[in-house]
Amino acid sequence: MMSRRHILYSLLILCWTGWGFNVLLGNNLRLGPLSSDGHTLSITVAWDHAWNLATGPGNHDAVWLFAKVMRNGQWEHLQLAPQADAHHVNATGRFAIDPDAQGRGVMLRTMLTGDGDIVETQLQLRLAEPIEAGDFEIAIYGIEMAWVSEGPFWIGDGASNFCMRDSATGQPYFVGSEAAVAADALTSIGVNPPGGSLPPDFPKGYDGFYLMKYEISQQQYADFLGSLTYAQQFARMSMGPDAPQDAHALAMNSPNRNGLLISQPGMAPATPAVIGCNANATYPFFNEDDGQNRACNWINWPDVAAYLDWAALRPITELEFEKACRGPLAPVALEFAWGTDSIVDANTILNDGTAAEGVAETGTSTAGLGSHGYTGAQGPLRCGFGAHASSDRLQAGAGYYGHMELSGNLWEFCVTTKSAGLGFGGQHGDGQLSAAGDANESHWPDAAGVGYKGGGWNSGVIPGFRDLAVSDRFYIGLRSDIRRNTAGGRGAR
Amino acid sequence: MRSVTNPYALVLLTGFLFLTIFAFGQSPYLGGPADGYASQKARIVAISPDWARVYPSPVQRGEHIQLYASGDLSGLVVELFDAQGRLLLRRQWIAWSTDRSMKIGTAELASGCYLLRVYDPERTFSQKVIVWDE
Repeated sequence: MMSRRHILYSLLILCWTGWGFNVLLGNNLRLGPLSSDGHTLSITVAWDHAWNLATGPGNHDAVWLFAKVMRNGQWEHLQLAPQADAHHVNATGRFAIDPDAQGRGVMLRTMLTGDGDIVETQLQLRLAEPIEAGDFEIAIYGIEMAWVSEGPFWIGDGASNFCMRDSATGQPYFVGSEAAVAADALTSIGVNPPGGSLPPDFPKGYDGFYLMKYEISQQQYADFLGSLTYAQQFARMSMGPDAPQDAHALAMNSPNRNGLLISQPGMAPATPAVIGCNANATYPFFNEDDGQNRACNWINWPDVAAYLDWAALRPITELEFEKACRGPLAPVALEFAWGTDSIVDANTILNDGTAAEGVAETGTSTAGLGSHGYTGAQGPLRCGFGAHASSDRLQAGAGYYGHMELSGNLWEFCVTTKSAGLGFGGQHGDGQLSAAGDANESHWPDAAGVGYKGGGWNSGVIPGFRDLAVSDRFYIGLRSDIRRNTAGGRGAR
Repeated sequence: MRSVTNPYALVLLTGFLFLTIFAFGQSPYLGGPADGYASQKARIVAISPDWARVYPSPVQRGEHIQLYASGDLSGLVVELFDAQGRLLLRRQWIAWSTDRSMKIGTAELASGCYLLRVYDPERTFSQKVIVWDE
């Protein structure tokens, strides 16, 4: 009979063998079978190309995990124990689990230094309270995040439209702390200056924070819609939930590569619609080329706010957006998220609609890869379309800390320094929406306090138009409550 | 309480299968197919909710076993037996922090199978615990 040690070594050898034949490199976050005994949730987690770096950006990635339970026909946020050692990962010393203090989820990250793949690893997450007797459906969701390290940085690049600048020097503004910024210290080139002093609680980007590595995907938004009531769906869709089968859930007019369709119409007031991905317009839904991994367009600020509240995340400010792009480096005039002012347009789609969707073009040593302009895909590409197993920052089209598509693909909503945004204090969502399906975090701004950053798939890059530039604020004042075919979002913690 | 799949079998299997392969690379800019999002759903049938819970099991020698109990904790007694039925430990419930759980160290235990019993005058809970060592 084999000893336990012998079995362990044999299985480790199998794992190493598996490494050699791993051709499906990608971030490819995977959650394994979910089970629960009523006290804990048990699940496996795996993802590729995790990192925890001591040099370079000096940051790490992580997975934000949160859960829902269906009670009385409605999904509710499931509270997890807020104590770190209440949770268990089957790899002592190799992972850290950082729970939210209010029990709204946990952040899982590796403690090993370097980059590599996380193979299927068993997690046991303890619930804050045991689930009572009954028959329940439980769901767990995982979102890959990348840490934006604490530290000083610059906002404004001295050249982009309406970019921020130091009132005294006219140069980019140095953010050296989270302390309040006086109204006369910070201004902009041209219009849309800050609406007043930035309060101490307004997130300025100096403190570290986690930001979703990717824009919200179409699968991600479909899962969100699938957890809502009929009334909540009504608020979060362009079409009513009772629209006929195959009606677009979000897109109006031309879908522009949004493949979210109604697969089963809902019926007021109690039966929500079933939403699925069907980008190839052939049955069944969720074929391998149905665009599940494409970034989700046709969502407005109220939609993104609702998603972030539901996922216990929060929006970022326009200062935090620039920090995520540029990191601590000195500004480069007209630079994009990858740190140069040049771009290669991602035009020629490969493996359209699949998990391997990419483009034929590639970034160069001076020009990063970005989805933009007037030709090519008339809609968003797959989240992380430019990154591959050996890509650098320009080839991946990534920000300083590894976030993808901060420039291009879809515009992203940021809390602005307009007066309507200055009441934001960085509060996280609580996982629960209003009965009407809206975010109900009292300190989050409405549409008047939110604007657009980063450019989209149809943004031109020509003299005078630099929508994708890190510091560009041309559309910071544009109405954010309209669903656009070019806008999506991402959130932070 | 019963789950559709047995989580402890998965723990045992994936615990041994665990491996993180960290190379000497230093890049946050890698990627490939799919993206950074996933979800899972399951239906669980809660028949008779246990009032106590012991996890993880198996537990690696040196880690803590955690016990969780609902209801009144004041009279609870915890006992640990080895595979031969010998009593190794008996103590009153001592909650750590503000949580409702209690920890038992395993550094002094040999690899093998143990039985944990938690009881007060009105209720009893028992669960097998496996301690393993590399």
